Amino acid sequence: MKTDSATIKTGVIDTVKSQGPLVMLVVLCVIAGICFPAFATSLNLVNISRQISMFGLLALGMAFVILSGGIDLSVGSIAVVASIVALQAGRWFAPAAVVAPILVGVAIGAFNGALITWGGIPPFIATLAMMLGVKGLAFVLAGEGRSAAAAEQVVNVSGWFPVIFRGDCFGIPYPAIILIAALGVAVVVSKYTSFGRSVFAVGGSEEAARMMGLNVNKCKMLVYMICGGCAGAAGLLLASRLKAIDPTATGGWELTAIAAVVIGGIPLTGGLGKIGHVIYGVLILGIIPNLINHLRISLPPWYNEMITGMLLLAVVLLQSLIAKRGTR
Amino acid sequence: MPNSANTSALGAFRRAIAQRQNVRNYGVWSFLLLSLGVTAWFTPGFLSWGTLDNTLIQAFPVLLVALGMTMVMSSGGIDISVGAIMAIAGAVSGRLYTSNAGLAPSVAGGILAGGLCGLFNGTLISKFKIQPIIVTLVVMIAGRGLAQTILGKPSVSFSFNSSLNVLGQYKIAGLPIQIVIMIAAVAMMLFVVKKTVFAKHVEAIGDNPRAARLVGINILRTTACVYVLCSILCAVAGIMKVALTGGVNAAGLGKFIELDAIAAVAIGGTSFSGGRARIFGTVIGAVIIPLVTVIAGMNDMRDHHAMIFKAVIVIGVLLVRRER
Repeated sequence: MKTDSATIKTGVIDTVKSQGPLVMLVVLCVIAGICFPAFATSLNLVNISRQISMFGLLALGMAFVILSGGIDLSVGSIAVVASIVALQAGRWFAPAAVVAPILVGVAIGAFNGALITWGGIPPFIATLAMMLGVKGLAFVLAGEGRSAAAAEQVVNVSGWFPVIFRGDCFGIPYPAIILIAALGVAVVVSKYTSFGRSVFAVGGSEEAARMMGLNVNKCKMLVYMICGGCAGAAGLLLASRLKAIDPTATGGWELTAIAAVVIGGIPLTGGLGKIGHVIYGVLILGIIPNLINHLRISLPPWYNEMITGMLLLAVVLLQSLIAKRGTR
Repeated sequence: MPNSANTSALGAFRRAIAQRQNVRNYGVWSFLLLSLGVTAWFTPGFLSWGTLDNTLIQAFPVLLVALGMTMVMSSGGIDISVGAIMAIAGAVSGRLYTSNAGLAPSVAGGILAGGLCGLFNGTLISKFKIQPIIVTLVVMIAGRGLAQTILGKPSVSFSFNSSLNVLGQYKIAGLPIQIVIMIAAVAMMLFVVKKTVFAKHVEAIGDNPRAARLVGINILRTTACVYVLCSILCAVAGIMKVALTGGVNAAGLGKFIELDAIAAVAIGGTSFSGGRARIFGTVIGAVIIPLVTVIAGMNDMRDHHAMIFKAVIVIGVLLVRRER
């Protein structure tokens, strides 16, 4: 009997360790559900799922990049350029509004990948420069106006275009369906394809992966192209939501995406973690501002930043403690 | 016979590598000089004292932050929380100043707050072995919120003839105080890098942390010192910016300066994987980055064109200098 309870106990601890993000999410939801009756209403949940869909896509792409041992700081800029391209292309040929942003995202991602693989520039620096350059490009594409406020302009779009963000199927919003589908594809790709496995190998040790005969450069190129494509898809959703050109709409998104990936249990060192768990990080970061809204006390908006930062710190400290115990 | 052939081949190989390195170094500087020359030629009124003054005042925060960043990168780390630390220091100074603490205690309080942020960064990085980018990401996200909490509201402004604002406009022997601080900071960092053991330790940690520990370098203390030094320089930059503009905008103070600072260090030639700190290169980089903005402004171009130019310059410099 004694051994039984002991195994159960270690089993529980192991589950908490491996499913930490999920446990945190469940605890958060239970607290929210008890404290705020308005939280568990379908209207609120639908709103949350719409809001997280965009940076959820960013986080999925970012997860591939981080698993491969890299980082992509340009995703926010890519998303905003993609949203502008979607609106501009939609004026000219309606279906292009869907295809063009994703293609633009993949193209910029390929450029990132080329800078990192053939250019030999560290990912952090290359994508930092691209973050700046692509944001500049967004202002250029937006056209009019010297300042950000003046550059915001409403665009006439076809009737079906806003439906991508606004519409739903049996009560489930389209953006949530897109995110779930992307999540499914990402999990399958990372688990069951040779590319997916090679991402882990490259992230674990680039040198070892090269010696095993993997094409490291090709793998990295693909990873950044996927990340760019995801950012492009997020940009499409953004365009459909705003129906307006706003080059400043995605400030700070790349940080939220990275935070979601880390909270989802993928360390920035790469090679470890599960793509599927990223969704927990996304949900946790999506629910927190919602909870702050429900508090309805006059909490200034900047508390959101502080809570996100503290949460990230707690997760990272926990990861470091677990990693330390693991090496012993 | 084969032996001598071998050595001569080796010699040729060495010469080729040296040449390649020369191409790398001179390539970067000629690329920058050429682009500067071309822009100066086409910019009306470029060669004037006004341009110099304007550029140096704009370069002030970037230079201070980039000097600290050079040491951090020399130790193999990175600090993306510099802008948030500027905001925290500015907010603490502003809060103390508006509650009538007097000029000196407000400035000292801001610098102390910056130093504490650096201690937090350095401790988490060296003691808890968390990656620098993640630790400073946390401070970057939470710090800006903290700055606004400290200030109690998004922004505060002082009257035009308050002592803090007078400090920002102060001139020593005809030179604006910012330029004097800049010269002092560069001299201090040159001294630290060229003459102290501390800089050698930092370099050793950046090159190979394990070897550095085996040699007996106190990694904990040295790393903490590097981040504290960087944060104090950020704090000075933040407080002086507050003094110059006569107000604190906690949400916007120092925003995106980490990009400019990292770009300046990149242009200056300090390796991102740690190693030798190149202070002089950083100084040039920190002047070139704001110069791009100034030149773009003088040619009546928009800010976002300057952003694209900065990106092109950083990527171009790194491609020329790549270590392959």
